[in-house]
Amino acid sequence: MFAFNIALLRTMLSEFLQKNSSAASFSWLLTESNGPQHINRNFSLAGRKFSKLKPDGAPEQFIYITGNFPQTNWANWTVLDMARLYQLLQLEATGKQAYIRLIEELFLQADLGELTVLYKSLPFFAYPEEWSARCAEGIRSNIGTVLDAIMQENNYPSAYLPEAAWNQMVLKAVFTGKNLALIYGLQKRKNTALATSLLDYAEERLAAGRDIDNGIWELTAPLFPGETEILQSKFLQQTSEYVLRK
Amino acid sequence: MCCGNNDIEKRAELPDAVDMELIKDMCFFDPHVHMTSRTTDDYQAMADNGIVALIEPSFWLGQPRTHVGTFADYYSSLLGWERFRSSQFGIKHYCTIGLNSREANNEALAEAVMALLPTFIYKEGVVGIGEIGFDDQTALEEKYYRLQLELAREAALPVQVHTPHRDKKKGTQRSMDIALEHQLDPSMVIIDHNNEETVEEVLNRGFWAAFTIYPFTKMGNERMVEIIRQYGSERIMINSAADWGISDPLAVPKTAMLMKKRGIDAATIKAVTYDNAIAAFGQSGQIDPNDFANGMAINQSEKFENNSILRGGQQPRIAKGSIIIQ
Repeated sequence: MFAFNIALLRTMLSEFLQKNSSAASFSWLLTESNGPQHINRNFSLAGRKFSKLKPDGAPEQFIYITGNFPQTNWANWTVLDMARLYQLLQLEATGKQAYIRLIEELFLQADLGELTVLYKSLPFFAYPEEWSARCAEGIRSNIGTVLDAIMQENNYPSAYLPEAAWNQMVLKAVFTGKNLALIYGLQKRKNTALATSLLDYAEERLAAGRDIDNGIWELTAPLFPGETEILQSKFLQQTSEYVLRK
Repeated sequence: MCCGNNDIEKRAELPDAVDMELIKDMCFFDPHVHMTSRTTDDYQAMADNGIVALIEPSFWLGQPRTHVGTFADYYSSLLGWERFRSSQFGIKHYCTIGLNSREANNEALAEAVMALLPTFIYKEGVVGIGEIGFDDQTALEEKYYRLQLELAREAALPVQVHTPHRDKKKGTQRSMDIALEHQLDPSMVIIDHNNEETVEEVLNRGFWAAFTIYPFTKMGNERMVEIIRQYGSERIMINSAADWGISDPLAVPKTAMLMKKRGIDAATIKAVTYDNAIAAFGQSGQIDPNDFANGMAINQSEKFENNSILRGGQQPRIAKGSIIIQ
């Protein structure tokens, strides 16, 4: 059902939250019902009880949790994010359809912060193979924080997205100027279709007289070394002509 | 004559031309503006004119909705997309959630929307229930106004009350009577769209009095200046209520310019264009002025965590005066 040790993550989050929230908020988190009638409201209410900042003295606190869940950059999670992930991990997951419906409802009614943490939490949902359409839907968003949550430091897309959706994500990341170094699994999932689209995109940028993120060449060069080299030199030429014109 | 360009030139020479000098170093909070209906040009202009935060009340979109799902999507878009869009211009976006009076007249739909509201009112940045109240002053409008007042009381949220265009004075009195009947503290209720005829009673009964500077159909800002002279600044706030009609998203800064020009003191201007809105809606516990008082960029680096791209006011600018588009 879960692709990770859920009991261990629950324990670690709860230890973390105990240290980083008020006694009242922590006890609310432990005792509030996360049944279908309450989770929507409680997921929102958490925003009024937990800090939206990263905890003080973060690095030490993350050593233990990072040691066990190294695929996630916990240093970029706020206390509230952690509390909401904890709520998600409490959901009854044995009934597959009901579980998926419940989480889908959360997505549909989410505010900005909720939406972001829901996408950040994709790697921690039960039935991981069932969320690729939701992930692809998130990539269609125009909300910068949502795109960041999916594209950057998230190991769900590279593990579960089918090739077409993965390629869309990478193209959109390039198109919206994301830091490609933060996309997990980028090298591992390079492919011919993606490289072809990136080369086309590079031609377009060239025609428009605009520059391009040099990070894309690592995705095209191994598959199309000749074409890559020609385009790279054209960009260099364009830059030097631009400098000369100035 | 071609295209009215002469008129535009003439306007620049008017004694009442926009003068940014008058509002130098001021910042503004517009507690009622429907950004969903506005363009990015408006956001840019608002930011340029010192608006640092705003409240977008839920309202009627100009044509009645017929499915509850469109309400859910509308509330979600206020809390998601619109909030993000606003942040790109360095403006902190809050909203109020409610069933507006016009659509309260479709009973089956209104029932479904009422069932939806509790999942939205605890979302981040929801600073009240609104805008609710009377339009035609029908029995159904009254029914859902009352139910939403109850919801506000349970949730301890302020209420933003729309008062009707027609039969305004009676409608306003009735709105206040009903709020008191439901044991709401008047200090938690903002009565909106006031005019010379309604203001005195609203203030005397302890409610907040909001004024909408909206050309032709609501208040003009010269009248507003006179009201400030007469009643002072206590519990008074100004908004634009800019929407899909002929309205002005710069109504708050422009009125500040006019007040300054006509000798209203700085503390009064600040109270009615900034402080009072924060005091009234801040009772929701959802407004921290530190989030916008010194610009939003600082805050965003905290709020949106690992997101280095998003910074308030960093949207690329279009060179408006040039025929070249790059």
